[in-house]
Amino acid sequence: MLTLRYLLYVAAAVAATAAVAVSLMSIQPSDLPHLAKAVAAEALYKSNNIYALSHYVVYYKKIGGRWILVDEPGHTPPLYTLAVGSCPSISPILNKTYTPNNNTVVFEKCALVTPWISEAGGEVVLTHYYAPCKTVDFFKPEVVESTYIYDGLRFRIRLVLVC
Amino acid sequence: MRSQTLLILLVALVVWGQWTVSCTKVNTITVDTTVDVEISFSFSSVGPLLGGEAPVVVYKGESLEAWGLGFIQAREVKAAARLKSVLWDRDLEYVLTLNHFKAGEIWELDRYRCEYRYDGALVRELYYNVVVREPPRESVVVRFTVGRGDVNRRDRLAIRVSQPVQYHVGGVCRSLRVEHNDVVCEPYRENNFVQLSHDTRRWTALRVNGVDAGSTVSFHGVNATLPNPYYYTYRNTPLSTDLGGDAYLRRVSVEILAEPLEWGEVVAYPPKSVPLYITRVVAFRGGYIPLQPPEAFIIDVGGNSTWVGEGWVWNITMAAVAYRSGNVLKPWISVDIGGYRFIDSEGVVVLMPLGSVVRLSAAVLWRLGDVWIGARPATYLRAVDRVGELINYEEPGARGKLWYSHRDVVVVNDGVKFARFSIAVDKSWSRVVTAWYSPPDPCRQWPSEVFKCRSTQHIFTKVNGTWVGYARVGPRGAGWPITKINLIDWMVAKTPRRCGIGGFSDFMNLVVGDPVLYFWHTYRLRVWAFNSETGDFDIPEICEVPPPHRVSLISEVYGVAQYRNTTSGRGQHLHSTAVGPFYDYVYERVDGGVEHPAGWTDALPMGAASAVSNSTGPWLLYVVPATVCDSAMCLTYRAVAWGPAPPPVPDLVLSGAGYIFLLIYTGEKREASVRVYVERGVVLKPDMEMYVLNISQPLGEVRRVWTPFSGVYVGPGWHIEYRPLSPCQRLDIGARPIYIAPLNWTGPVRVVVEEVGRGAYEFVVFISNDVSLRLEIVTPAPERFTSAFLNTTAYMYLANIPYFHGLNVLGEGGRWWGFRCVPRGEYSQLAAWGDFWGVLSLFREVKIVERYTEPVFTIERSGGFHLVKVTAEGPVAGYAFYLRRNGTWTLQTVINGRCVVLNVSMIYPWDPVLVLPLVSYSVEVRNTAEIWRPKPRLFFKTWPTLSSRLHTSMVLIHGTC
Repeated sequence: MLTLRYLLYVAAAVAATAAVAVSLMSIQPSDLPHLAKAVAAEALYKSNNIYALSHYVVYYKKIGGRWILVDEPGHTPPLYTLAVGSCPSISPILNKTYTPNNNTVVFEKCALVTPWISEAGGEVVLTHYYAPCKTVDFFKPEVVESTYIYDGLRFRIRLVLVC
Repeated sequence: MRSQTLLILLVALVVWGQWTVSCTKVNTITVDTTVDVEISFSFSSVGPLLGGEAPVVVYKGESLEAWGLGFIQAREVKAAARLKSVLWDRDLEYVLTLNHFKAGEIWELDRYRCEYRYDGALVRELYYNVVVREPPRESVVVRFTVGRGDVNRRDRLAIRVSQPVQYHVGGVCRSLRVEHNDVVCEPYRENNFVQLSHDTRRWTALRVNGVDAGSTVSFHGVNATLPNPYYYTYRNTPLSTDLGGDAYLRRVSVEILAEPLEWGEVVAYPPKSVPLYITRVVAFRGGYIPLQPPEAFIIDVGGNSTWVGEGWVWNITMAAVAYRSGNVLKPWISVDIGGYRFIDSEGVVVLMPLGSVVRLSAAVLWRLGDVWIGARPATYLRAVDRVGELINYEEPGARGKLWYSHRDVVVVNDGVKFARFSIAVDKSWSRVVTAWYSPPDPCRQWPSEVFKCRSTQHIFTKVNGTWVGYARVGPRGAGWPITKINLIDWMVAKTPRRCGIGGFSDFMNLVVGDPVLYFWHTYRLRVWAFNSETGDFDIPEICEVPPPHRVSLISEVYGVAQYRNTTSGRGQHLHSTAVGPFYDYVYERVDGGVEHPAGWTDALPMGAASAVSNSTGPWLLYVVPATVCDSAMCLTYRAVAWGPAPPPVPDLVLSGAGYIFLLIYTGEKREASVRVYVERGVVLKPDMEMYVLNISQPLGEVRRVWTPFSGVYVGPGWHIEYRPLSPCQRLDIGARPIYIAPLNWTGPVRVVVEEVGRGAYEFVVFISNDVSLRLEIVTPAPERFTSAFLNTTAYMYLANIPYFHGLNVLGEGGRWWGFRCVPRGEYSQLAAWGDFWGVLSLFREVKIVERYTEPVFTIERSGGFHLVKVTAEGPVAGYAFYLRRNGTWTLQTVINGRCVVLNVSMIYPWDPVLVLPLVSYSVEVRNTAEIWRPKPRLFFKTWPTLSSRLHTSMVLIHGTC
């Protein structure tokens, strides 16, 4: 049976939070592009830096036969965009379609990992990313995946828990 | 009296012996016997019953219990009311004259010693007292007066007298002498005497309980006029003393029970005795049933549709025949008056003073041998008495002396049903005769069950060795198949009649020849005719049953003069008198309404489900399943028969299985030798040897005295006394051989019961291998889930009837299935429990095909992404929800319904919910069973939750859909 490492990890993460908050301000993130690619690829990644993590709720909407990412209810259940570091706004990433090849966007102090979409075998597969922890230096992704029916369409939603 | 003998010395010398007897005066004694004598007087009075008051009843009878109720067996009862107020025509004076020895005087007695000597030796010595002076006698008169307005009076006084001396001193003689060598004492026998003068033996009451003599009292539809003059008297012997007769010692009492001079009576008669009818299924060839009442009533018929030439033809092949057995049902009549229940088999007479009006109840109870049997649905007034004479109810009805409605019934229990009625007696009509009837129901028995009745019997139709379908009765496409034949039903109501000819009959008229009344009404009944195109009874038709109908039950008697001449004589009987819900059934009328049975008498037979016979003989035959092992390996032979016995399906045999026979006798007591022959099959012996049976070789012979409803279990060469078995009850047979049904034959097998010297009765049992199983499948929802599990119960049916058999003894040399017997109503049924995979083997091999049902989650946008609908394919009855707690999946809740809406707002991706569909269904299988197995599924919520993180999930049920 699937068990989530997170359940063991929560206690340690909470204990470390106070100590890392101060040092966070002074770091110069240099590995954000690598980190974002690794997270998007659901791979392990150990950073020398400790990053703050946050989320934006987004949706996919089907317009003119294309699925595009929007920040208001669309044609999918709500999804997470994972933000690593300090991100001011997500407006630049909206109105686009993301695939596993292009679902990371790196800014100066922040990287965004966006939900991506694909259709196969009559099923819409959505993969999105969520960090149950608030800060992290070691990304250990784990996937929960389930199929649902929504709006008459069959969805397979994959949620990547990154820490 | 004066005794002049002062000395008696008489010596008798007897030459042939040496006896001498002599008496010598010893002294003279004086005795004073003065005492107080207590004289008591009591006067009490009864009068007419004027309605609701509690009566005083006088009876001579023994108590008797029937149906758990206490009765008093008495043929005649007097009932009256205790008076509360009265006005006599005068003061009532009662005079006692006492004659006695005067008080204060003394008795004088001479005392003698008498000696008996033999050869001079004293052998015996006796003392005697001879009265020489007695007190003088005197007479005293005592008067007791009952005032004009007294209903009761009690008085008590004492007088002083001298008691006769013989009650104080022993051996008192008037005279004494020696005669023939013996002492002769003439005993002193004087007594004190009392006498009651009989002047006030008859008088009149001017008013009783507030009602003037000569006035009329009405109550509950009846009325009575009090006689005028209203004579009173007493009938008892009022004077009693402690010595009896007119002599007294210390106590004299006068008790006067004043009662009206003239009494009327109410008579309640039971009907005549009737024979017990027993229903059994009898086979007929050619559709002609050569039986008719009173020999037999046809309760139901069975048969089959056969394709002949260009259409279907219906053949009656068997009928449920209620035949007259040698046993007699004897009616008893009970009359309830004020809570006293009197009962008698000949009739109960209730005497009551003229002027009485009262409400009584009557019930007819029935008895078969030593048991009471049921009566249903009620007791009714009937126009024929117990010797077969018509009773005139119009006259007492019109005169307001009898009032009755069949609606006024008190059902006490299965056997006692009282009908209430009002009666009045006065000078104009002093005798009210009633007769009663309750339809007997012999299947209810008290205090013990002598015979287990069956109300229906499965029938098996077979033509030329091939099973055929059952014809259906009713509207096309909606008819009901004739798979069972009724054994118990109303005999008159169910006897087939040709439409348009002849009305309904009266049971007592048919069976015991009682007279009848005639009821004019045309019944227009819905019947279904046989359709040669479909082979079913699906053509609606009208059956007219024209008058006259023979009836004898009365629905109402009340004070209307028009009723005159309706029951006296055999003229036309008024419509309303025989209309009412006499029975617990109605007929379907052509216009969709219902028709009620008129007031004919009817009776229920005793239903006996026997193997189908070719006659209505006294023998009932059953097959009872028998096994020889109940261990995993058949190492020791230990035969067991399995209940119920008698079984509801008496004649269905599983091919290749073991049986014994049960033979029950229903006739009159007699000694007989009975042999049982079976046409096919083998006998299995305890050493596992077998031999083949044939019809000329008896399976067993039983010689004994047969009493009604006694029986035996018969096996090859043995028999044991019958005792009833309840479903699944075991009867140990031990190391005795049993009968094994043939393996290579299905269809009828003849069994012959031969009563040596009297003839043979032929029976048929049916051998079938048409086994089917019913699977009842449920998913349990355990507290802690580890893996999905199915509870499957498989029940066995033979020819679509619940069936039990434990072991196929010819299969692979022993046992091949672990079995359990489950009582299912009146049947026993073979059952197996477990989670079956691949194949299920229970006298039939059933291949199991797996199908899986898995929950489907549908996200509901309308609930703000909080609602998820859970559905699943297949026979899903509900869902169980689990969360992982302390390392195991722990049950949170179980929701019934094929579709459940879950509120997922408190469910988090890291703490999923396990959803287990719960299947629950039942399916009949013969070759392949498709079994739905539940497949659990995890529900992860993979979309944003707006609440804070780090929570554990909670299962919230929004509702069902």
